[in-house]
Amino acid sequence: MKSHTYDAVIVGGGFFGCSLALFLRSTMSRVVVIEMGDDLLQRASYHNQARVHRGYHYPRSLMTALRSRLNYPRFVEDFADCVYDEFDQYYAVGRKLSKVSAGQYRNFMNRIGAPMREAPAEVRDLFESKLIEAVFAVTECAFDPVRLKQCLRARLEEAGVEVRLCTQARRVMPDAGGTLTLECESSDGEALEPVRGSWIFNCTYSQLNGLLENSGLAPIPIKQELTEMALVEMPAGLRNIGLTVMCGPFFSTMPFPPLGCHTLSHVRYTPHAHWRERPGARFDPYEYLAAHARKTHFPMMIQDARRYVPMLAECRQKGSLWEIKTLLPQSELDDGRPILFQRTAEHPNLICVMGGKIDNIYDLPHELKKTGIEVHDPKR
Amino acid sequence: MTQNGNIVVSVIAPLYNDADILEAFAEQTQSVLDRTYEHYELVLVDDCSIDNTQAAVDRLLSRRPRIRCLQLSRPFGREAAIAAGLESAIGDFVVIIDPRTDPPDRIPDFVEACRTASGIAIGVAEPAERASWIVRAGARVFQWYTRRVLGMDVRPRATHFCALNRQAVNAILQIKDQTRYLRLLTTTVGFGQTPIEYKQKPEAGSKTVRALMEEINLGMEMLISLSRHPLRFLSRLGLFLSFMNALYVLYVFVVNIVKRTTEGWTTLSLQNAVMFFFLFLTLAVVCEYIGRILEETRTRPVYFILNEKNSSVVMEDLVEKNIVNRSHEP
Repeated sequence: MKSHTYDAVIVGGGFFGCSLALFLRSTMSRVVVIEMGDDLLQRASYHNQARVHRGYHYPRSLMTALRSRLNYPRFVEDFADCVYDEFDQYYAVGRKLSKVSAGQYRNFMNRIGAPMREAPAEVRDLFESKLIEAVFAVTECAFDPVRLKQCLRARLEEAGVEVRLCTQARRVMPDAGGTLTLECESSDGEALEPVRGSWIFNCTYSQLNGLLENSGLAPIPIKQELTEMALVEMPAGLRNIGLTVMCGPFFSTMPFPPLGCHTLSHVRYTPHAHWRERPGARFDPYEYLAAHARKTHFPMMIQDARRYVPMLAECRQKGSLWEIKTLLPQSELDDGRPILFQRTAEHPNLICVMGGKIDNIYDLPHELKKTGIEVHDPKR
Repeated sequence: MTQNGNIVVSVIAPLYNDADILEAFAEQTQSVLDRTYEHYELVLVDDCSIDNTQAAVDRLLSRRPRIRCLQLSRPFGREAAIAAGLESAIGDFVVIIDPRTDPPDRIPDFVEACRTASGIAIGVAEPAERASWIVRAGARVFQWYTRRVLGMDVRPRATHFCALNRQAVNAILQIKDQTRYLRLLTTTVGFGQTPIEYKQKPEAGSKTVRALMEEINLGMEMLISLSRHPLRFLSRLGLFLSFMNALYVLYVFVVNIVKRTTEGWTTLSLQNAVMFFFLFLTLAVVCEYIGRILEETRTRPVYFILNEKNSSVVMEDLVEKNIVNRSHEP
């Protein structure tokens, strides 16, 4: 059995899980990633807006904006092959219902050192000036989640991190040697050989509380959202453009590299339902998503978006990305996206890690060090 | 349903201390909308109610889909609440409805009229017996005056219940006037208006019996913002009286030189009285217009929004399994 004891077991093969595995492998010899799906980066890492955040999105949360701004160049350098930048990114500020004003937005971005300039007149003319106060041109790119997956798979393999696909983590149990045992089963519910680890990292995002609850541990307060992002084909004039209207019940559209189209998301219409996970009343968000009727909100999204950018009326829907989005309740107030890094009280070696944005991973090594896990971070 | 499949209808309901009727209103409205339109939204605008309207709204949002609620940051008045709703409505057709008095089952008629006949459908309440004869007579005089002077047909019983197409909504949103009487704005933009007679709900109660003063205020707003007729009328009259005054001055001189007699008290006081009457009348009208100018030069927003909330309903079948209620915040 000794041979099956890993230094670190990472549950969840999303972007966070894979990146964490690579960090840990720099100092640990045996690291394994457990993933329930048949491939890595299949859920929220893929079904997302593919934006590499540089801070512009968070004018109400200084910490999140600043960390994004600092992590952005690192991500772009680190994953140069996965970055897509053949489009112009614009941020507009709404006049009504907006929680920021143009002046305040510009000041904020100046303060964190995120460059912004006035958009050229032909771009400003795309917007209805009665509803839009100002438009700023920025440099911010997208990532291709499929390339990101291939890249991470190659790196995991190169680093010698074991990856077990189609393996569902059931529960975590303490064992005699002070290590933890992770009971696993196959996608058909068949029990698989348990995995033992000195550390177990719960990087399951929307399934965080599933693993905790099965293990008889206290759940973490989280908010789940069932989200729809429309996939649209843009009219020629908007094809090489990403637009985001700040900061309220507005919309955002930007290229989605793997499918060669744009995503359109709307703060008001993208969430179809949301709920807080409460102890004893949890239901599996994935099962809920699978059972959902998935009646698209695209007509409502476009009806609103075209008021701001009339040309959007010409875009055609090609489909939708449906996913469960997981948020920390505190982010409802300031709209920040901090990483959750929480050791469970019962088993201090079981750590829950959840991040809302991919560039946040570079904040992990510091946090790991505080926990007593030295990792080799080549860039620091 | 088929022809309504590709339009989006927004229904705006301004709220003020309407906690008691909100639930019934939403249910009634949505049952109409659900069977008529594929895509719609119900926009509640809470003018910062002081009763528990917000609690009622929260209950509603957690149980019913397709509702959102704008909450104004302080009471700005019904007209501002409607302006806020209009500005945030996304529909091809926008219906404004008073949750207390107007029957939701007439919404499809309004939208249909708006779509086929003209840009705007205006609700006209069937005569209310309660209105006193002073109000009715005043309304008739006002209607006659506006028709003659402004060339506009202002319907005395026109209510807030109306439907506008997107073109009309956009036109209204372009008007930057600070005083935002909807009845006035719809008159200003034109687009053809179809009157639709309907019966207000009997339980309407005291809230709908508009006080005479309120009617007079609205009438004055209409006159002042739509026309310079009163100002022009008085300036002509002023010119005429100034001329008469000049004649009188001449007369005083002539009499003083020729007859050297003491003139009577009657002429003096008559002239004084006439001039003072005219002076203050002019001042009153000028005040009104200056007031308007002041109002318009303050380009601050007509309203501020505290927050916007949306329906958040977990799927119906799960509601039946009683999962939703447990997973929501109490």
